[in-house]
Amino acid sequence: MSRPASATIPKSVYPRASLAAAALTLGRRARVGLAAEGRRWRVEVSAEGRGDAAALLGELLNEALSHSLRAAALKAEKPLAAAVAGRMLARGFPAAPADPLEQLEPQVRLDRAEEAAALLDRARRAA
Amino acid sequence: MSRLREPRVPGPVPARALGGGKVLVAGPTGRVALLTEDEHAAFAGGLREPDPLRERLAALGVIPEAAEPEALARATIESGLLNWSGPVTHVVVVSARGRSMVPETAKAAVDFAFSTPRPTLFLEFVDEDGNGWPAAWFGAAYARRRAEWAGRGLALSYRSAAAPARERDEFLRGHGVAVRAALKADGAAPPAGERGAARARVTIGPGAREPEAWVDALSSAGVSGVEWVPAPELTSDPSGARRFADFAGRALSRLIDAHETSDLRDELAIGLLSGRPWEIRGVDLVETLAYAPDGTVFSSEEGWALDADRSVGIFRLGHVSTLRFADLPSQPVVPALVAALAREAQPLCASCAYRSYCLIPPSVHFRAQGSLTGRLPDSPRCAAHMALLDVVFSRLNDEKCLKALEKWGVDISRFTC
Repeated sequence: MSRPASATIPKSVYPRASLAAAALTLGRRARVGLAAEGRRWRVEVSAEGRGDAAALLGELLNEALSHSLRAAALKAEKPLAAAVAGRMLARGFPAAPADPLEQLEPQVRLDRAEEAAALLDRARRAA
Repeated sequence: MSRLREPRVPGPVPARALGGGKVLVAGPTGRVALLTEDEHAAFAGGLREPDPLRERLAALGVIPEAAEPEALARATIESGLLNWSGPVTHVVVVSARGRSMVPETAKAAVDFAFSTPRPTLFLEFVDEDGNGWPAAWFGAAYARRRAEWAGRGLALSYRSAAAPARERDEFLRGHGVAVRAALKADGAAPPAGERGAARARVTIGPGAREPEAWVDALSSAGVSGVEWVPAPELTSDPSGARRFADFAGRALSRLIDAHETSDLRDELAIGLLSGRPWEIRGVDLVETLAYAPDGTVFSSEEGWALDADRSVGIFRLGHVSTLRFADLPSQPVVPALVAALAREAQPLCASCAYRSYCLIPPSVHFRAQGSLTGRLPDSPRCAAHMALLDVVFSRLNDEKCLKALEKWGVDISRFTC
């Protein structure tokens, strides 16, 4: 394991939630420690395995910055993003309509099931 | 440390400097105009009526007081996720990593694809190991019948590393299944006449060179569509990503130059230029769903590959025999994917000139950078999309480029220069 890398960073730029989200993206590659020092955070990253702690610290800070920017963008665009996501989740996944012919004429469904079974049988023999 | 590479141009609307004194400005609905630097400076400084440049830019919807709000709203909805009606592409992995799909599972996968609402479907059977032929055979024959029964449009494709044997090739042709060759580019040598394949998916390795030679070779083999895919080694660091972006950009440039004699088309570039998220290849859930050999449904082929390669299971949606399309929103990953696909809420995307044309699959972000939303300044896929769109938009004043786009079915009425 390489030596831990650390940095002190302003709380105003790196919210705690962004640092937590960034730590999640490092996953098992690193252990991340965080301590408050007045208006700054002290972040320490230890690489698990062969990783380079300094590179992982850089990745963590990039990711945290990206997260805090995304949070700001989300705040600004919340009504639009929420409307799109809400509608997609509420009404975006309707099933295809049922076949009216099969509903009106049950024999059609049976004939089709029989045809599919015959095809399956041929495929099984080819396997 | 990576540097922001995007040459943004300050101004009232998203703009991108394209070299040679050209600046691309984009309106809110994806209409774009290629301006000179002087024109852009005049625009940024404020244009007065009756300036002809003002008329041109008003047509893009970039001058609020001259825009027609209803037309803008209509165009925004038509090309946005609110107008989405189910995934287009269903990737059925009939064999891969030593596992094969049984025909019964292929039936369940086809039934699931037909339970989704989009009127026209595209099913691709991926026979990576060459052992999945019974499932592919059944899947193609059954899907064709189901499309006839339901009166729905259907395109079929069979992807394998080796060209199918004659008997199989005849079956595929008889059922209207396009053969898609899975090729690898990792050196200078172009493929030696892959005749018979209608389309190709070429994985670009670290040693790949001479994209122009690849384009020429695929064209001369009669291939009509190509998708360039980066090898995993090229997605793990920014220099690899730049190599892939350079390869893809040069290949597209060659395709544009050769369009009069070649029918080859870049599928990713055309998907991007459609300006509709459900036409961009591989976008989780919106463009695609994937089915593993054991019947597990994934949000994309990349999501399945992450599960197979790294045991990352977050893109699993359920099993094809029990999952219902209408139940997808209750899967934990689906709301997260929908949120990640909202480009308005992405930093840098929101102010990018290509916002209306680009969408990066969350699973691709996850492989490269470990999160569903990625980190755009050093995102490998962002670099590739930028390179492709730069090639097209920097040539909007080139008749040859416009003719090529028209031939490929791109709506060029949205582009002005």
